[in-house]
Amino acid sequence: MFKPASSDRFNPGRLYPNPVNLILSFLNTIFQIRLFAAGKIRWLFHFFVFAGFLYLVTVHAFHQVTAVVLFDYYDPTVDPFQFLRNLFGSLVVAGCILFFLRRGLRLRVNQIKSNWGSHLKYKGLVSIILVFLIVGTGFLLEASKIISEPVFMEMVEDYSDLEEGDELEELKLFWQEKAFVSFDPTVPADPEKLKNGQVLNEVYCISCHSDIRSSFVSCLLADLMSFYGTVLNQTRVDVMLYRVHYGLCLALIVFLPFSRLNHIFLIPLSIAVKNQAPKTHHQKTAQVFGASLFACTNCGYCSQVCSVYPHFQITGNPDVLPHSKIETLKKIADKHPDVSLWGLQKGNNACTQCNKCTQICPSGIDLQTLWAVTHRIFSDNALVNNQTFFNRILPEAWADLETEPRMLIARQELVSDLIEKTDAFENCIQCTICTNVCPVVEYDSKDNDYTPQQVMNLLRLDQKHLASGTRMVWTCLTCYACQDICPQKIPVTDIILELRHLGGVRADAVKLQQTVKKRVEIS
Amino acid sequence: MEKIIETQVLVIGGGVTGTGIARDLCLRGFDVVLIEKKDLNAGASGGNHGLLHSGARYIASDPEAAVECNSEIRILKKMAGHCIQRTGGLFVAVRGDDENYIADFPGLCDRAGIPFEAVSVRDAIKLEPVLSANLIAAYQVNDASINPFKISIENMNDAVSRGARYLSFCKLESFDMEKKKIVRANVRNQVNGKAFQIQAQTYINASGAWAGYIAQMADISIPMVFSKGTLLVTSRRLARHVINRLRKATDADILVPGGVVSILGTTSLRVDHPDNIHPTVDEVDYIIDQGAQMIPMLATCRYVRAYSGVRPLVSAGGDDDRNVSRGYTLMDHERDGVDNFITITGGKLTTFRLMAEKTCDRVCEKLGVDAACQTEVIPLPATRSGEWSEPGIPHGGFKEFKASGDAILCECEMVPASAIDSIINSICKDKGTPDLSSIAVRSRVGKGPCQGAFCSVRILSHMYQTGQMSDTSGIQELKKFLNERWKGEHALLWDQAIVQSSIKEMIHCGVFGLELEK
Amino acid sequence: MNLKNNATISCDLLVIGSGIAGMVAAARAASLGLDTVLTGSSSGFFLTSGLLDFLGVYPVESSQVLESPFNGLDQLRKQNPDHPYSKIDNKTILESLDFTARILSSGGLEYSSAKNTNVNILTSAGTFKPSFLVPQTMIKGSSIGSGKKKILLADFKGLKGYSAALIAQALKRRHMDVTTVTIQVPQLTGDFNVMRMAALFEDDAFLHRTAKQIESSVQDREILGLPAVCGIHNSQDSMKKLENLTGLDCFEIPGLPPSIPGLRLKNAFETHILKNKVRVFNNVKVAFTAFENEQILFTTDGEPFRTQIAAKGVILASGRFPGRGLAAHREVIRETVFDIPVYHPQQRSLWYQLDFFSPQGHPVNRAGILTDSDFRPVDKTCQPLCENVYAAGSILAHNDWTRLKSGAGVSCVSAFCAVNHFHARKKIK
Repeated sequence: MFKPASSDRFNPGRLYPNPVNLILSFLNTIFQIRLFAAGKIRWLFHFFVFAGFLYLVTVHAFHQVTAVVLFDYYDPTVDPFQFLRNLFGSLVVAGCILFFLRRGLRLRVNQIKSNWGSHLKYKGLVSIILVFLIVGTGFLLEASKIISEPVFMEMVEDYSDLEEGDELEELKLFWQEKAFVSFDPTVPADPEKLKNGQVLNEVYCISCHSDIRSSFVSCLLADLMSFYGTVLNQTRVDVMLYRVHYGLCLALIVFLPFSRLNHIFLIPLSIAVKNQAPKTHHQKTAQVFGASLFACTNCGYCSQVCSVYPHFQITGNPDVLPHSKIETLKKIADKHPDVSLWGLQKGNNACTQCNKCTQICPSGIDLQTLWAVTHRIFSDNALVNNQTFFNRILPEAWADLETEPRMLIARQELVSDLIEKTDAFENCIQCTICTNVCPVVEYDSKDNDYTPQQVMNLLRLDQKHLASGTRMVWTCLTCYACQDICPQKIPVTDIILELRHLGGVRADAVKLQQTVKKRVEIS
Repeated sequence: MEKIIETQVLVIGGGVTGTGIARDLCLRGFDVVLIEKKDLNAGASGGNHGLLHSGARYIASDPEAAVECNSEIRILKKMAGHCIQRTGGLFVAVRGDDENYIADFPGLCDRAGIPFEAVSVRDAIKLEPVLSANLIAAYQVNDASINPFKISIENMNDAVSRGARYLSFCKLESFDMEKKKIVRANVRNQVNGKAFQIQAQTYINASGAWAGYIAQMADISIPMVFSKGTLLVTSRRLARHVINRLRKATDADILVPGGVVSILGTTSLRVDHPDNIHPTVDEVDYIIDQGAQMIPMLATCRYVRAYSGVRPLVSAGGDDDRNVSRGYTLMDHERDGVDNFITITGGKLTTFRLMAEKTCDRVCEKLGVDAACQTEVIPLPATRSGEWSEPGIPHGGFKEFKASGDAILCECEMVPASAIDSIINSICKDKGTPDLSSIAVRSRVGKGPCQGAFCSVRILSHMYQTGQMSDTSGIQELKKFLNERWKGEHALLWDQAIVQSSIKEMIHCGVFGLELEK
Repeated sequence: MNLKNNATISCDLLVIGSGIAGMVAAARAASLGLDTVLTGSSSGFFLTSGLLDFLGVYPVESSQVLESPFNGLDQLRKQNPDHPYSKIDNKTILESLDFTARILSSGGLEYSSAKNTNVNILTSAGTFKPSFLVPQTMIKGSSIGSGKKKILLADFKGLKGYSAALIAQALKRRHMDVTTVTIQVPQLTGDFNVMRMAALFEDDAFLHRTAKQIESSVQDREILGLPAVCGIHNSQDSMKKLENLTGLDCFEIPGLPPSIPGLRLKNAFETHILKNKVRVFNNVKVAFTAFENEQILFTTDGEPFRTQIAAKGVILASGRFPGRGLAAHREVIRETVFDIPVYHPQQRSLWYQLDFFSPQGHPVNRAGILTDSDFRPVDKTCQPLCENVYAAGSILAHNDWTRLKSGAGVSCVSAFCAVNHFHARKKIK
């Protein structure tokens, strides 16, 4: 009978002592080893974006507390920082472009056609668009600063003692020719003045400004922008862009916990929590609902490897698949009013505990424990699977149960209805040959109740509900030995399976009744 | 067994009437002995439809009987509810039936005070999908079905618990008469052949169709008419309601639910003697053809067995037995010169309690006892041994049953060894001899699809293994039992029934060679 | 052998029905080199006793139990020229019975006879049944007929339908010296079935325990009778082991179905025919389609595969009512494959006697298919229906096998001969 598998056994982390565990999770966080194992292309763009963004956040955004402290020569416009900023920025852009391409061209491998709501389809997009825009505006900002005459003049005022004059003109020429500044009016070209300008640059600027060409993306942009340099400078596009860039960064911070980007925190949290050894069901529930559940990034890899995928193909119940189960569980956790428990219960019962989803989850969520917890929640709330349900009730009590017919859930029409067609079982002569060849009767004699020929007789005695609750019906192996050997050609196994279906339908109705009566409290 | 048994009242005949009288008398405080030449319900009480008539069937032919039925049914439902299934009934007519009768039906019911309700053809078919598409009229009535074996068993059990004695397989051979009274009854035990006598103050002849023969022993002549009726039992219950043909009462008019089966009948053939009757092929075919007119499925469904019973009718001249009154006949033979002898015969299953009441009232008058009838107020208790006359699943849950080490001996009707043991106990308490036939009367052993092929041997073996049988009579017992069942099988051997009986012959003749045993 | 949809399977001989007649027919055909297909269901074996009768009683009306079946055979031929045995000479009869014993032996089951006389076998009802070919595990029981043996009968607590006390009573009536003992089997409690019991006999520890339990009852006994549940696959070995452990001769006593000796028969037949390359379609029903170009065409019945079988010859061994070779309706009996006219009493009221055990037997048991001397079914003008259609086994008319105790004999003999005739005709062509 059903026993939730112990997550401890399947948790790879448990094989190692804790310090090793921590190192492993750290490495996983940085290099997304699990994601690499799951899908290479996805890992590629994810890593680009992640690595790039990580650098930009730590070194560029928070340079006051990082780079400045570590490197006394730090300046945003100084190499290697200028170069690196561009490099990592372009990594982010490349990653974003790959992401959009992948989505747009439907390059996702084995895309599962399932009931992802539209909110889910577009959920990840907002984050990635934000990131793209931030980096994009960052480049534009840098480029606009590069061409900006006002910024140049501010710099001159702040960091040199040059006044209006020839020297300034020479410097300006240098910066115009070598650093894409757009002056209005343009400084006329003069090789002599250019050389002087270079000297001046070395005196005043070079300590903080490396060769602009190291910001390879921005200067390309600057080059393009310089066609409209005058207009852009006059309208102080650089200031606007700065505000936009900064605003977007703030937006990202605000949006972060609500977007998919929260997985940055939740995944390490979930892994860390997983590696603790929870003992009780309540601890497990707290673990999964507190941390693991929300670390899901809807990547869908779990469902791609799910062993009971064919079950979903046949029944059409999306909650057979892990990625959908998690969504439903999130809805339950959010106390969403419109959540269907039936699909989840049935779907979760189909799970074979093969652990493939847990092993592949790039976010390191302990899915195994999650399903076990889900199962327990249902069984605590009278929504056990039918096998367990019938284990707990005596057939005589089952036959006497009142069920309101209108509660019965509509099911597919049966191809043949052997229970109602009396000539299917009427010819039984009670010779007991089927009972004699039944392996369940042989090996489970202590617990088995009615034998196959007695179940046929129950039908003749008009006791189909009693028959549908017998242990025989629920432990039948469908080996067909009985049907094969029957001298009267009675389809014993087929009838037993129909009884199982009958019992299941009625049990669903009874469970629904019991659930509605007692409000389902899922902690 | 004593040479002379003394008692107040001797009841002759162990059908529903006889056992009903025994109980009624006991409730009034009398000391009673009941003798029966075979076992409970050996006559008409064991060969009927099991129908509690609402009375609507007799509104035209016998309105008095109709009224009696109507009131008795209400009493019985209250007093013996555990023996009764409140099935309700339908009267249906098909194309070609007498339209006048259909038209007269409501008026006649009203006149007799029989409650009924008109039902549309569509509703009738919805209620009972087996009804023919050729239905033209339908009425609902208060028919019910009763288990006559259970009634007799419970009547007798209650009487015995109040001090009565039940002597089965004891046949009355003669009366010793003195002056204008019967002083002793000479009885012989049919099993051990021993003769003994019973001395009672009053003698009641409740032997049903044999009333004439018993009365003859007191030199009284009662002209009896023996009308045999045959009924068929289907393997599975086809309809929930009793279904009657809405026409003047003729043959094969009624289908009655009997627990998990349906009973179809009946016929009405004059025979010369009530003993040794059995269903014939012609009767069986005729019943099916008639019945199929209102329920087409009857032509193709599986029949398990057939049986016949003889109606005890007191002759009033004329040829058509259906015109003989179904009303009962109570004769106080004081008018014939015997002061302490009463005969009660005729009547219907439905009115047995009333017949018993009237008889016992007369007994009280004769003996100067002032005791009122209590069978209308004291309900008939249900006993454990009475339970086994219903098709049963072992009580208290199958799992417990299995864990207790008990075993099912009759698979078709799910009768376990413990039930057999308890039935044997109750037979022994009545000083009877437990054998396969008497066990069969008190249970459904042998009444299922296998018709005793397997269970007879299992039960016999069980009795030997547990020491409840230890003499050499086992084989003859087996043969007797199988022949009893055969009476009900041989006329309907086609389809599955012939498969069943072939297998039975394979086992008992092919392997055991019982036909070679003398 | 796989059934393929819309494929056609060709064969020399199609045997319809896998009871005793079908199995013998298939085995004989294979031994003659015919390409044979066997269809049908062999679950009927569970309803047999495992004994192979030849001719036990003749004439039926006088319940004359025969010591020598061949004496009875002479009489039968004179008085019943239509009986299947009347179509064959004694030599062929013996040959066919011998053949049957050999194929069973090749299937691992030893059967023996007592030099052309009948053997009286004790049954669980305490009666004696005359039979001919008897399994090794039962043969020693025939010696108790002399009345001189000291017999011990054992039964098992909880084994339904079998009581040593019942049998003992019957034997005591014949003045035999009998004692009984009941064996407790702790691992089988409450309601258990024979198969579980029989499987235990293949366990040495169980045999030891059983022998121990009856030790105190052995005393001066010479022979031990047990219910026929002594093992399924190795009954002969189990029996020998038990004999060694108890020091007594042992024999089995047949009883109610489900019959373990019947199961052993089934297994032995199946082993043999599978070894001999007969193509077996288990549980497949065939529907006759047409006679075409010297072939007889059938379609297999049932979804989802429809396979055609084209056979050069057919042996109809489909059995009687339980096997559904014959179907009885209210007014007529029909043969279910070809609808060959069935010989039977016209009115149903004449089919059966009022006494189930009537010495005359029931007329309907003599109903069946009429054939020519080569076992080919004939029509009203006594002409064979088809050159290559044969009938064998219990479906044949004029053979009340339950009364004559001739069931297996007629099946083996008619099947053997029918195949011989078909083969001879085929060789001529």
